Amino acid sequence: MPNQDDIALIAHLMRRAGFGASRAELETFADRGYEWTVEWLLDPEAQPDIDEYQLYRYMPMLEYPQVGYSAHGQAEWFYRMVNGQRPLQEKIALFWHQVFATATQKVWAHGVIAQVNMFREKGLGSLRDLLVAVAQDPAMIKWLDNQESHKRSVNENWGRELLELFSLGVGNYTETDVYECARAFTGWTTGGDLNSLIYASINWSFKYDAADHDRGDKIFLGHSGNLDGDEIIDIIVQQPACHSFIARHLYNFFVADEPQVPAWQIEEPRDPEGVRFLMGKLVEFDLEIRPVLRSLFNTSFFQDSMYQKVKSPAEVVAGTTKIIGTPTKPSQEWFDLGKTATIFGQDLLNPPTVEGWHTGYEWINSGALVSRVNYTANQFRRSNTPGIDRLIDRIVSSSSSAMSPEQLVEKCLDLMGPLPVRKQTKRELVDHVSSQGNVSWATPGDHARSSQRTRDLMALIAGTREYQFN
Amino acid sequence: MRITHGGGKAWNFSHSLGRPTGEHNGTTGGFMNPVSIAVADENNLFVLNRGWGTLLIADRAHDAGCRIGKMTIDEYHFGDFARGEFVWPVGLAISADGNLYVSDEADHKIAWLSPDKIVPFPENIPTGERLGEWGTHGCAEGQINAPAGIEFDQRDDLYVVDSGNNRVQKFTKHGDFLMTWGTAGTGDGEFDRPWGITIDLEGFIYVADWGNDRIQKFTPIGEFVMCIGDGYELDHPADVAVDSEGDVYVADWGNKRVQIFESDGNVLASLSGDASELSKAQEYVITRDNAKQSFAMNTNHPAVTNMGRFGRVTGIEVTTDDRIIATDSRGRLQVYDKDKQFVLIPPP
Repeated sequence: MPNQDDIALIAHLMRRAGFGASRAELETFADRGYEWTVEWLLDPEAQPDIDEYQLYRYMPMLEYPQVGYSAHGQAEWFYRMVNGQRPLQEKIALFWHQVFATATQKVWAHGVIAQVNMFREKGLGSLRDLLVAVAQDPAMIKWLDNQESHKRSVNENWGRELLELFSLGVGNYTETDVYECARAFTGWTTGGDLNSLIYASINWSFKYDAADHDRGDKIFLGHSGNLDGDEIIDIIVQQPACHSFIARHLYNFFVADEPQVPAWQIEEPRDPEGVRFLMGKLVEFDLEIRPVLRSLFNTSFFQDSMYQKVKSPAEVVAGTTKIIGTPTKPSQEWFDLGKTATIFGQDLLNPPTVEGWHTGYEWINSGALVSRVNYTANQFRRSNTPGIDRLIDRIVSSSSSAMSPEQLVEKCLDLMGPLPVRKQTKRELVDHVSSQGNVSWATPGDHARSSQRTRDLMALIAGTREYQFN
Repeated sequence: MRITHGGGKAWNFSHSLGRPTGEHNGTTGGFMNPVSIAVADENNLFVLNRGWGTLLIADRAHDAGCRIGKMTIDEYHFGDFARGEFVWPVGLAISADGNLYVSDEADHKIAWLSPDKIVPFPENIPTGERLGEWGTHGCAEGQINAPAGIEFDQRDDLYVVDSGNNRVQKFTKHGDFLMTWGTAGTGDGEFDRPWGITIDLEGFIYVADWGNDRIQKFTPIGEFVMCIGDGYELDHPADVAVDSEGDVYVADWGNKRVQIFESDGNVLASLSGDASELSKAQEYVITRDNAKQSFAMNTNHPAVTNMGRFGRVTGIEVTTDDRIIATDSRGRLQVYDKDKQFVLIPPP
């Protein structure tokens, strides 16, 4: 029988490496052990994918999304986050979507959705292979104008962002390196572009236009020769700056909030040892992300980092949905989830700039906080929420016919996390429940009243400061 | 002419209709996730569109919600109606008095509408075309759960594929319960999330047993007759139609094709889609917009040829003169003619 600490640790892992889990899932994982659960997460391909047929039958618009809208892709992504049996695959896709931010504001939605699919497929593999795939991704080529970069007219946009935001960070390359990098990627363009208005489909692919590739000698980060794009990436991934940059991204996403990326040049990591550990693991495992994450999830600094991150909007929405247990089947509600995260500041598939979203405390402003609190509280107050019904059943079955307000508060905090709250928060929760006396489950009428009080209490908990943390 | 033949029979690709769009009056018309077709007199068609599935304000401006389009088989779009009248419409049938019946699997309702109202694009305010509705959500006899395909029989009673309850139910057109059969499972007469339905000229009923990858054939009182496509020929079939000679056309949703069977279940041929030439609506849009012509007219491009292939085939109907019309999730219909004069000449 897993103890409370086991459950709390597994819950932490599932929030960070996924989007949370139901209490029943947490107990199953805890029974099997933390290391077993880490291995389960790291092997998503061993789990069944979602039933795409089921999804596309009822929501055919998701299979052929409209060009300029992220709504369809968002609906499918939330469906995968909540229903999928591959939580880390979705989380790593979100991680790379944040790092290699590409947006529907410029690129057709089909392209960005395909890019996220690529992150699902390659996101736990080799960083080198992933960077090559990103460089050859049609959405990225369009996003950073590389189809406009020709051997006689170089466009530096892709070359610059590859170095600045995707691999090395400011201060680790020169302007000459940017230009030489861009030259090496000339001729990396797209093919098969078609008009969706007429055909409702886009046949987009990477195309290497040898005639438009600059075959001249280049000097890049001290290496010289007739360098092509993949050779540039080979050089990049040998740089300690690249290992440091990706390690800090991993730390920021999986462990604890860091300053925003542009500040990394001037602000030290909050945990230099942790970042150095991840750098070392990247080198040790030849830039394979999967074993690096295995090492990370088994460190004490990861396990000790509970609730040290502000939930991203996607985590708020998907995590709350998993607890309340609806929707699960295809329905219109999946569109609402995407819209809700957008209101909170995370328009999935459409990040504001190539820098991605500003994270951590920048998710929170007065407008977003009120929206988040209202949303989560309303979700817990909803009727027809099977997940909450199951939690109430647990409360009832684990207690006698009556319980004190303190007991109900403790039980709800446990089942909603377990969520540690400050003494003052807990006192106010207890005071609220106490104002209506002890909690009884003795009669059907008592049960109905106490169920509603429990929902109200959970809504209050969802409105606390503590619930905003991951 | 693109000819598909098999078993000594042939089907000629005729033309495609429409394009994916919110516009659909006159020659501009098209569809947004078409899911079902009903053929009225004089080969007028009604096409049920599911839309984009979300009614954001911006989507409304593009008329992206569900709707019913009315057109001729030669692609003259009279226009649309019932915009935004449903959540997830799926089945369409015409009663003897000419009214249109629509199933809504999110709303668990059957609604009936006048076929005569046309609402000018982009107006989306209902103008009274919805005449009524019935249906109670549940699993008891006479209640329905996620109704899918619907079809009228010769007596003007309505068979409803009660998909969420894995059964078929028969009602009067006013919604009075008459009979039911089927349950969840894989055996004869059992279903897994069934979808489309049709009735042949002899009154036999065919149900697309989506999750079991087969078509099931029944007598009018629900007695099991046979399975079609039970040998791995089908992948999640969505709909079924039967021509005047008894050949069976299956919207083979998972395989993105139309699979044709003889009445005894033998495979005759597969239609994989041949719409590599522009429909009238497609021609219209590229001739009004020069910027799109450069690649849209490049029909030698292999990608364009591929565009002739079906996306998901969700609905299929056969006209009285054996023209086969299939919905294509690429926002169009594809029309084939059965060549009854076809004689297979053996190679020399």
